[in-house]
Amino acid sequence: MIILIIIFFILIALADFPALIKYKKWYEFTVLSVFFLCAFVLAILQWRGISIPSPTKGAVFIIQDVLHLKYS
Amino acid sequence: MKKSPEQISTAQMMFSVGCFIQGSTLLTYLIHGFAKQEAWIGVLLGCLISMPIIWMYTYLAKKFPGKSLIEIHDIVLGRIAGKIFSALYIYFFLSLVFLNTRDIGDFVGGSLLQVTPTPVVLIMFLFICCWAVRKGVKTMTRYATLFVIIAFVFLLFTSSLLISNMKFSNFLPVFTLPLKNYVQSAHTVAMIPICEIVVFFMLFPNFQNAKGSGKALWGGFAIGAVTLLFNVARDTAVLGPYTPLVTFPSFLVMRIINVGTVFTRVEVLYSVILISLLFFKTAILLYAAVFGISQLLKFDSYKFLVPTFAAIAVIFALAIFDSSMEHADYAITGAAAFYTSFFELILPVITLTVAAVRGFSGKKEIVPS
Repeated sequence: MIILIIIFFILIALADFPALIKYKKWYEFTVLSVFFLCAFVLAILQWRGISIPSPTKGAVFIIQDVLHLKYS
Repeated sequence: MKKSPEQISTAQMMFSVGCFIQGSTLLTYLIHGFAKQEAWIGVLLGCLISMPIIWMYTYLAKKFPGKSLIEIHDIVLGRIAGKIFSALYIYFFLSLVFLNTRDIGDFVGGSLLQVTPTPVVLIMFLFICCWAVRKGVKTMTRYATLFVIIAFVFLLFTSSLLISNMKFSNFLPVFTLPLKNYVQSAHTVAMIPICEIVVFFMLFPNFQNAKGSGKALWGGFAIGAVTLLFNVARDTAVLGPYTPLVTFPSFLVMRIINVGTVFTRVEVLYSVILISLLFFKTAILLYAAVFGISQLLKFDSYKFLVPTFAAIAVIFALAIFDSSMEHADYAITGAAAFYTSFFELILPVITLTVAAVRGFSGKKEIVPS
């Protein structure tokens, strides 16, 4: 599985990084590298079964426990 | 950011909005759950309360023609507050990508490919979305008209095959539920399928006729609302009291079709159409998110961000809920409707109010750059 994840991310990297390097777009390259690394780390965590913070759980906490907005 | 050479017509925009709303027909089980046999009333009420919100969107779009939400925030709220609002919207669009991708995973995994691992389904689905988004807005929206027509013709065709199974007594009794059920169903209809069209503000820089935004939004709303109403009414007429008990009522209704030995297993066709609609919706949301990021960070292009964010979408679609029950609970308790209300109602109202206070609400119009 880890091999598949690595191959998958290599393919993503090959799709965009070479063009950014070729045209010397270093700002875009830096930002994309940050997002790419985050995605890779998250994929590894997901594969290892480590819980990733859900983007909705924070919102649900604010809506239901802080603002007490709930239908049932 | 340079203005995109890709321009889309009013008709294309209108069908895109309609197709986007049609993409939410998978979630009609929520309306059936809240309003039981009176789900059609929930849809009508939802459409009614969406109207002033859509009017607000058209007002904003006409006041700032050819501007995306990110640009409108920068103009109205200034650099810092504008950036905060824009970042919130990017988070919102991304969360909708995760939720819709999860919907497709639950539908395909639960009804069609039960032994296929969910990540395989999600990767294939987002690969196609990613491909479409990289091709650009014009290519993406070109298919909306086709999808809308196919979905509508299929809806009429299957409904005609189901006439013998329909019992109009299934709509009775009327107005017997507690007020809370009507409010919840109307709120859910307004916020989840309909007012999510706020995402189309991210396509307005590519809109050929910036002044036709009202026509596009209202026309798309009409297409989507009619489809939703028709879908919900058909499912109630066929399934009756069983409708709130099933996860995908339309899918079950399709399974009932059996005319001779010719028209059977129509649910496969239905699934293909539904996945196509959800593909369109997810592609538009993914586009809005990456285009928003590229505008916020002042990139020349958004395309290089697409594959990485598609990968992030696969990961979060898997991680967003621990189980399908938790996913259903998120919608049933109203958390989904309240969450979307913040972005579809409260933030636009704040933007509109600040625009009025700062003098953007008069006859003065922001000329497109």
